[in-house]
Amino acid sequence: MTGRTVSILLVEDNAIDQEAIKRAFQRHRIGNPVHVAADGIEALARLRGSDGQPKLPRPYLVLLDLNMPRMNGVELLRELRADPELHDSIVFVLTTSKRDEDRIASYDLNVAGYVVKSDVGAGFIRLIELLDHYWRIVEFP
Amino acid sequence: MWQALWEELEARRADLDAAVEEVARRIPAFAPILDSMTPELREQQRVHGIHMQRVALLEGGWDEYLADLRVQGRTYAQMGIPFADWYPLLGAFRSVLVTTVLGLPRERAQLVIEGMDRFLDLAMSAIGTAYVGMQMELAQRAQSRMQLYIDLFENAPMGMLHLGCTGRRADLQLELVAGNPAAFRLGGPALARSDDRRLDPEWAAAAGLTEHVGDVVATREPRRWKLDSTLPGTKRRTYEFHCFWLDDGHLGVVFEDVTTHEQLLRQVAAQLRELERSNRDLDEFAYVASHDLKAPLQDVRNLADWIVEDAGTALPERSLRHVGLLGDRVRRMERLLDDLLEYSRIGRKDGAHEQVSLRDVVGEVGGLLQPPADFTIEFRGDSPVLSTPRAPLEKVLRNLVGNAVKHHDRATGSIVVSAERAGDRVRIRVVDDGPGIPEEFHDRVFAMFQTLRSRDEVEGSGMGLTFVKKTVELYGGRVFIESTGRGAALVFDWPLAVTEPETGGGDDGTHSEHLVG
Repeated sequence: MTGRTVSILLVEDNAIDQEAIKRAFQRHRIGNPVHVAADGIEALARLRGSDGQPKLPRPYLVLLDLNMPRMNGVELLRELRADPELHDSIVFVLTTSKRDEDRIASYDLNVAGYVVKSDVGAGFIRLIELLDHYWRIVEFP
Repeated sequence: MWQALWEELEARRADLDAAVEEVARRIPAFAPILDSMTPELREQQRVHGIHMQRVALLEGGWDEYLADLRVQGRTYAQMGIPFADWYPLLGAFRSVLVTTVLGLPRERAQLVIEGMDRFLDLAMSAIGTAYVGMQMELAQRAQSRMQLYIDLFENAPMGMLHLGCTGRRADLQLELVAGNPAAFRLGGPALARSDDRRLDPEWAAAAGLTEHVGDVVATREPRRWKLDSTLPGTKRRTYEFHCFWLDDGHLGVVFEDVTTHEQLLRQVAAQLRELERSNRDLDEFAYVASHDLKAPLQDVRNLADWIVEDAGTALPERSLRHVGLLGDRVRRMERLLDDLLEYSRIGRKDGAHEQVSLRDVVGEVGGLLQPPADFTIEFRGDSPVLSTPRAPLEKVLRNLVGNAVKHHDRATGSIVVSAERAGDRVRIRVVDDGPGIPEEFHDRVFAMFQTLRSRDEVEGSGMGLTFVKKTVELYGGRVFIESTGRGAALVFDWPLAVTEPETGGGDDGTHSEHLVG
């Protein structure tokens, strides 16, 4: 994909994991802007530009944890898919959960991929590689 | 006189025998007996008959002869041959003799016939006595037998009713022909109101009979039903009724109070539900323990790594070591949690039965453990094939062999696994040539979180043998240690064929069953 840089919206409540993802991007010298939301409600505000939050410009990609307070990952996904403006968002689920129910629910809501944190290696290296290839090749909506 | 009779009988043997046999064959009761006798047997009987006649007529042995006749009489009475069937036989005997002696001089003929008549009188009298005796005996036996049935009926703790049944299916009339004491005790006053003209209809309806007798009469198949109700005039109880066809116009009913039994069943069902709930809680707890408790551990590990990455060079040697230990302890905690989770799952996620070769499992375990190059792990001897879930057996062996390797104190070691059949189980030995386990610790090592050496010397959660013990015992076996001085053998047994848990017993299919309440 040519042209504009993809922004990343990381939706994750654990501060350590937030830092881990950011460190991973830095280590691999990926300069794409990474924005953080601590739960689904904050994420929606960021994507819509509501509640005093600046609206996240396109193109963007969402890295979504499933277990969060106030509004969890699956609930956020439903909100996104129901919203006419946000329904085509590219979402990768990035979670500790290996549960079938979570995976099935996510794919039922058309995620681009379901990634388990413990599978992506130290420093999230394989996730970085995946995303780096993804946005070079894939055309974003 | 007897002498003369004998002489004439001897002169006409063949004719007499033929005539008697011809008559006997025409009597329905005798014919099958004659048919079933072999020629040898017939000859034997004939010779015996003649001998007995000689004993009586020539030697005066009447007692002996008549006793022999009585025995015959009893035998034929037991066979069910009517006494009246003897007349034609003896009659035939007499008429043949009479016809043939007519050619003799008159005095002799009269003597022989007189002899014949007295002879036959004595014979009939003996046979008659035998019959009466036998019939009395049979009647007594029947009565004793009858008394046994009566005792059973009178003393049975369940209600038994003999019902008469007339009319068409849509409108059956029931009468109470007989009932045992238990029936009236259980059945209550309404049943007692019944008699042999009418079974109390209120009782019949409450008992569910009105509903089911039609079926029993139409199909002649027994029916069974449970009733949770009040028979008129009694307390509310649960009953089980059986109704069965006896013959045209007669039905049997057996019923009993199963209230206690039903209560027990309900209790067991409730306990089962409670157990299932408890198991679900345990599963959930174990999942939470493994998942949510490990999350902060993962964070600590990340933070420790980042401290080293970002500030490693600025840290004193000691602090670097401390941060390293932080990571170790965290990893240990994660392993403990994993082991705890696995322990909690023992027996419940074991998987389906397979045909498992011990030699193969030991080979896999050896491959998984990847021991140092100078260690050998081998299976020796006969390898039985077990029918069992694979995972638990494999985990037990992995733990035992892994322990042997982990605790070995030398650079080279040998671990040998062998098996021998013991009845319907297999005894498996894991023998190593390591430092051995002192006898005073043989019991303690199986307890939770017990390690023989400090965790700094040999990394381990202390759960391995606990896991082994619980699994082996779950499969009905024992595990113990043989170790004096160097080396140790861990010995456990396993079923050759693990049986499937039983499913709940079903109905025998011929009865209908429902709760009427």
